[in-house]
Formats: sequence, C-alpha cells, structure tokens
Amino acid sequence: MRRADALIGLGVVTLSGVLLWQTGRIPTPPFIPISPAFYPRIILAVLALLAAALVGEAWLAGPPGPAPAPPPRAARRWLVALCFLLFGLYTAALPWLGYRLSTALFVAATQWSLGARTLRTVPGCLAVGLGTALATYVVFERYLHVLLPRGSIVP
Amino acid sequence: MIETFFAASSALLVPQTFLSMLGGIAAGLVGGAIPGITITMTIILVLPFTFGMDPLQGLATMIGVYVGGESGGLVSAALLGIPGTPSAVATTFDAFPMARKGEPGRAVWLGIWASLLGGLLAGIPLVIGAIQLATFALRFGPWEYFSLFVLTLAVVAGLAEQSLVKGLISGVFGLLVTTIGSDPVMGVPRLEFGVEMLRTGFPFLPVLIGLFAFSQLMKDVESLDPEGRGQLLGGRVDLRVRHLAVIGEILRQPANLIRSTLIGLWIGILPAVGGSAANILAWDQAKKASRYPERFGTGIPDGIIASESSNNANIGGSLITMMAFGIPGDAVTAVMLGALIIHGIQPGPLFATTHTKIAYGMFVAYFLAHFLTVAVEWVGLRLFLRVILVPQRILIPVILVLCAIGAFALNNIVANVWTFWVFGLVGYGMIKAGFPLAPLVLGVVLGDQLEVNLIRALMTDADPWLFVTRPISGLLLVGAVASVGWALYQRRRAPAVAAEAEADF
Repeated sequence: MRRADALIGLGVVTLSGVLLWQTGRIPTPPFIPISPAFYPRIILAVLALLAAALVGEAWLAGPPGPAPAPPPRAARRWLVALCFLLFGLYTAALPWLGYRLSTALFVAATQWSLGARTLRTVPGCLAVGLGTALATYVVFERYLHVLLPRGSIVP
Repeated sequence: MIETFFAASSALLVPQTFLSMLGGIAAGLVGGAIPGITITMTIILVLPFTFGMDPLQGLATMIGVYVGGESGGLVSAALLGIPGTPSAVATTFDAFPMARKGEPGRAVWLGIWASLLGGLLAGIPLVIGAIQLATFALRFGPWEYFSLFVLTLAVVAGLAEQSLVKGLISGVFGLLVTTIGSDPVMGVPRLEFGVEMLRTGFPFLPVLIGLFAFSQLMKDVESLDPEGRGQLLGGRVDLRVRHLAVIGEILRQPANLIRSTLIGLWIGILPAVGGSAANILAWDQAKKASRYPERFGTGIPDGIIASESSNNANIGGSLITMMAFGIPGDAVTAVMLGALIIHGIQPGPLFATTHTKIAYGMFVAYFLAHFLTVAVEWVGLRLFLRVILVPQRILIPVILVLCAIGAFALNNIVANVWTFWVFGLVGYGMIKAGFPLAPLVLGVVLGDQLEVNLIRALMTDADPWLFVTRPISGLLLVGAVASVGWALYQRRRAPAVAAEAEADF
C-alpha cells in the first residue's frame, strides 16, 4: 500500500465532503432554473470519486518496496521551507513597510540564505537587495506607471 | 486579407511597439538561455510590463519572448551542456558534443538558423489554420464547447506520468478552484466562507504564476549550488562561423527540416503539450529516419536541426489552438490567454474573427519576431553569454519579486500576492506528491468557460443527452473517453514508460 497516496486520497475525499455540505448554503436566487450550486456539486462529486479511486489504487499497489536512497540534496528541503517563509513575511510586510524597504530586505535575506551564509557576504546581499528594489521601483513606477505597494509605516 | 496584413504590419512597426518587441526578444533570449528559468517564467516576468500597453503591443512583446526564448534555450544547451529550457533538451545531445569538438559557433548557429527556418515554415499553417479553424469553431454551440473542454482535460490528464487518477484529480481540482467566489453566470457568491479575499474568487494570473514560477523556483532551490556559477566550455568561446555554409547545411536536409517542423507544429496544436515533447520526438524521428543513426548524439548537425526546427514550429501550433479555440497550446499561451482577458478580450473563435487586426498583428509579430531574434543574437550573443552565468542565488529572489509585482499590479491589492504564495505552496506540494500541474492549470484556465457552457446548454434545452447525440459534441466526448482508455492501456502495456509525451506546464 502506498501510504502517502492513500492519505492524500482520504484527505481529498474529506475535503470534497465538507465542501459538498457547504454547497447547501449557497443561495439560489428566484427565477433561476439551475442553482449556482449545481456545477460545484458535480465537480466535488467527481473529485470525491477520483480521490476514492486513488485510495483504492494505493491500497492495491501492494506493500512498499525497500526505501529508495535519499536524494543527494534532500537536506536542501529546509531551504525551500525558508524561502516560502521569507516570501510570506515579505508579503505580510508590504502593507507596512512598503515596496522598497520590504523588497530590499527580502532580496537580501533570501540571497544570503541561498548563498554561503557568512558575514562576509552580507554587504553584497544588501547591495543586490537595494539595487533590485530601487531599479524595479524606478522602472515600474516612473516609466511604466505601474503602482507598487505603499506602506503605512514607510511609504 | 492582404489589407488587414498591411494594417497589422503598420501597427507593429511604430517605434514603441517595435522596441517593446525587441525588448521581449532580448528578455526571451536571456530567460531561455538561463538554465532553470523557463520561457513560461520569462513571459510571466514580462507580463507586468505589458499591463500598460495596448493589446497588440502586449501580445507582440509576448510573442517576442516566446520566439526569443525558444532560441535562447539552445545557447546554454550548446555551450554549457545544460538545456536552457525543456524544449532544448534534445539540442544538447548533438550541439554540446559539437561545441566540445571545437565548433561552438557552428553548433549555436545551426540551431539559430534551424529555429528560424522551422518557425517560418510553421507560420504558413498558423496563418491559414488559425482563421479556418476559428471559422469552423463558430458553428459550435455550448454543447460542443463543453465537450471540447472535457476532451482537452482528458488528453492532458492522460499524459500524467505516474498515475492517470492523479492527473484527473489535478484537472478536477483546477475546476474546483474556479468555483470559489462569484459564479460566472449569475454572480452569486459561492464557497467563500465569509472571507473577503475569496469573494471574487482566485484571480487567474496569480494562480498561474504561483503554480508555474514559484513551485519551479523552489524545485531549483533543492538542487542549488551555493557557490554556483556556470562555466562556458571551460573559458572563452569563439562563435565566428560562415553563415552561408551553415544555412546550406540545413537546406541540404529538407526532409529532416520539414518532418521536424511538422512534428513541432502537431505537438503544438495538441493542448498543453509543447516544445519539451516536440524536440525529443523530432530528434528521435530524425535518428530513426537517418542512414547513420549511430552517429546521433556525437555532435552531428542533423540532431540540432531536428530539435531546433521542431521547438520553434511548436510555437505556431500552440498559437493555432489558442487563437482558434481559446485553449492554451502550452504554458506560455496559457499566460497569453490571461493577458488577453486582462485587456478585455475574450479568447475563443470570436477573437480571430472579430479582432482581426490583433489576430493578424499576432501573425505578423510571429514572423517578425523570428527575423528579429536572429538579428538580436547576431549583435548580442556575447552579452547573453555573460548574463546566463549570473548565479541562481541572485536570480531566484529577484524573479520572485518580479512575480510579486505581476500579481500585485493586476488590481493593486496585496491579496493577489498572497494568492501567488498560496498557489506556489500548492504547486510545490503537488509536485512532491507526484501530481502533475498541467491538468490543474488547464482546469483553472477552462473552469469558468466549462461551467458557462454547461449551464447555457442546459438552459437552452434541459435534455443532457444532447451532449452525446449532437454529432460534433458526441465525437469530442468519444475522443475524451478514448483518450482516457488509451492512457490506461498504455500504462498496462508498459507501466514504466507510460507517457510518451510530457505535458508542457
């Protein structure tokens, strides 16, 4: 049995069930022959069936073979998590610190995390961060008239 | 028709449009050449620049990125031995050995000229096919559209490498994403759980950018070398070459050139399958048809010509599907569809027949971009070689910032950046769990139209059997069932090599 697939399948079946129940709360305006819940119900029913099939497929797949050798750079997965976290912080900071400061800090921090992570590399990372923030700000705001996020603390 | 061509050409040749197209080509060449940065990612990065442009200027710029990107991929394939884009994988097989034998200029320019010729040849069926197919598609009613979208999803789900069920789940999940927020028929809010951000649903482009760019970049992070800096064949490279001799080499292989072009064109027409499948299939067919197959992979021109002519011809095919049916031929055209919607143009057969100036402008831009790409490479190849050596630890955060700008600038709200982040997580998680992203993306692209046509059909006539009994609709549904059946049969026959083609998302 492929446990991961079975668990994902069960999760999707549960999600579909919850959302199917939620479709009961979708209001149907009068004089509309087909409810707005009609299509989501079809989609959710099909999704639940497919997820059940995935559970079945995982069940029938038999016992897992010997564990494969870990990929050579599996340790880098934590870097992926860090990148997601830094970007989440960046997005959260945009309404407070504004585009320029948030971007400079995000680019510098991410670049430092993905690089050699020594004190010696900090100035270079900060320079790239500042350069990116200012260059993109000038190009988008000044020349392309694309508005960038303003901050409530730092404009 | 001729007048429309001239009108479109004059619209493209105004300095502003011409320059933005040149910029698009340069961006495509650089993005395509940098390993790990795909053409899709490059076009996503260019997207916010096109927000303020008129539709034709924006589309011409994106076509420039597309054409430039396909050519750019070959530069790193030949000189680094790493394909810059998935559509240049097969180019590496012969171009890199040729470059290592001391002929880097010949390897690169064989690819550039073959790209030009393959692209130009594919342009003819693009011009004829897109309009003809769009005119044919005008006969479609909502039943036929619904069935066409079902067929498209079935074909793409069937290409899922690991499991057909996972491919189908991915596609249906994409459809589910589009049911969140206001329904497209009456605007009634659905499944928004009182969250303000969900009230209008997930905007298409941040979802697309998250799935394509964020998840792909995070995959790159897994294999990142912190000191990473590429090496061009160990140092300086001499790219000088006798161009007439190189063009002569290509023209002496008309069968290879035409066969590869047709393969690229056909693969491009298939929804969601793009250059990544075309170049390998064309290289393989060239090898099978060759009198000296044992020399393929040792640095012969035949392999480079096959791969590069097919991946540029693939652009023509993808544009046919996009312009005739409003269905993305691959990931790049999915982004272009999004751009059309931003500019208030509804993709589909009416696009090519009602916005004729834009449609013909796209044809002209396609041809023009091929010539300009060669010109830009002629002048700036050496500069691009420097750029492709920029370490990924610098590129990744900068690209993420540009993606964030693209998402934010759509309606000037930070919620779109959160959508980008969430779908980056979703995409990465799905890749790790073995779910293909192509059906998901296609589900998101087609979801609203699928629903609108289903409801419209049932409101016109409540009999659901019409989906089966109307000839074209019935045939399309039979095709969908056959596609799933074929995928199941293939897996049973050879589980390890179940999918011959890989979806290009």
